[in-house]
Amino acid sequence: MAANEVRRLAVFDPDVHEAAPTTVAARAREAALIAWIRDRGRVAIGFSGGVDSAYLACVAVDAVGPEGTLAIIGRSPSYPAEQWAAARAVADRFGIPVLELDTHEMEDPRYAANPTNRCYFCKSELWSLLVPAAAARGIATVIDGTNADDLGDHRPGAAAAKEQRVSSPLAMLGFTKAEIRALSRDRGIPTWAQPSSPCLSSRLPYGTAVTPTRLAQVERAEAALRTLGVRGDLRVRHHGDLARIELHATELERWLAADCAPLHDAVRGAGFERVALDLRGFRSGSLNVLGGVTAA
Amino acid sequence: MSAQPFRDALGALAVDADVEIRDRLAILRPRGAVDARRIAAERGRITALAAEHGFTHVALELGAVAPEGDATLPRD
Repeated sequence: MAANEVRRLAVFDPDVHEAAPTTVAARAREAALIAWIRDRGRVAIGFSGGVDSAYLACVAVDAVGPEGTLAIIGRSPSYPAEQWAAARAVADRFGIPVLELDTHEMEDPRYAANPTNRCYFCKSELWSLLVPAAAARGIATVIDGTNADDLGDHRPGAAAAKEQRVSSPLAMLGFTKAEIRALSRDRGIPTWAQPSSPCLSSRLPYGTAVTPTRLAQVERAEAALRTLGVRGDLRVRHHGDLARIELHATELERWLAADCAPLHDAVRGAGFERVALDLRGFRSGSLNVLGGVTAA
Repeated sequence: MSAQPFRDALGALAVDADVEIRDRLAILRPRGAVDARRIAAERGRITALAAEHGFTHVALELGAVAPEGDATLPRD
């Protein structure tokens, strides 16, 4: 196991460390997924190295072999270096061919202004590069790791995928996140218990301009907290001079019961003047709630 | 949203802190040394109070002590 895989394993999500057993329904979905991919012959996958796309890429290799699979990583300042390392580790371990492309959403003022549909501009840039890159290699089917649970979220990026005819077989076949984790665990994919890891721009409240400097601050702060031993879901939300830390409930209780000074020092060291600990802890889409995009 | 009613409500829990508002985020700045275990014990009630006062988020500022001198809040 590569060193960076070991690092990922060290941040297991406490909630999913004891994952549910794989169900008959989940196995049936996986069989359907393999058949769906085989019908297409060759597939290119938008590959971040997260739980969903890692599973999808591994199944694709299983279904059509490495010669029929291309995992494409879109790299930009909003893509954490640790996530890139996890993606490469999975690809190396499972023999997944990888293509890396630089994306330039940061140069798009519509993206940088950080509106509530920011993800649309990011995904438009991503797919406008990935789809032609796949086509140039004779691959007509481009897929992503959107799952059935994602469909209820605020996800403006999905519209960009639809415009570019990107398919989401996990969602289409009804895979839940829990099923993907369980099936990943059964396949020995080290991401099975990895916390969700959306792009770094998701740490900035809507309307706060996305800049490489702010994203780097967030990335440094989260990396410093991981180094302290923070496990499970973690977000450092950027509120200008103040960083607001969201921890998984178990970790929040643990740190409050101990001493929060190391959290403060670690995040201050990443370049924030002030540090606060969110008392509700981690919430997926927390800034959607703060921005009034979804209900509290 | 106003800080004072929320501060008063926190005071009733013997949580002695200034409240800074940023949109729907309330930032608690402890007055005097913070007892994190007390905050932990009251966490559910604090977040519920915050919601009652219109805040979607409430956070405890670390390493900060608000200046003393305002005697409107109870201290223990």
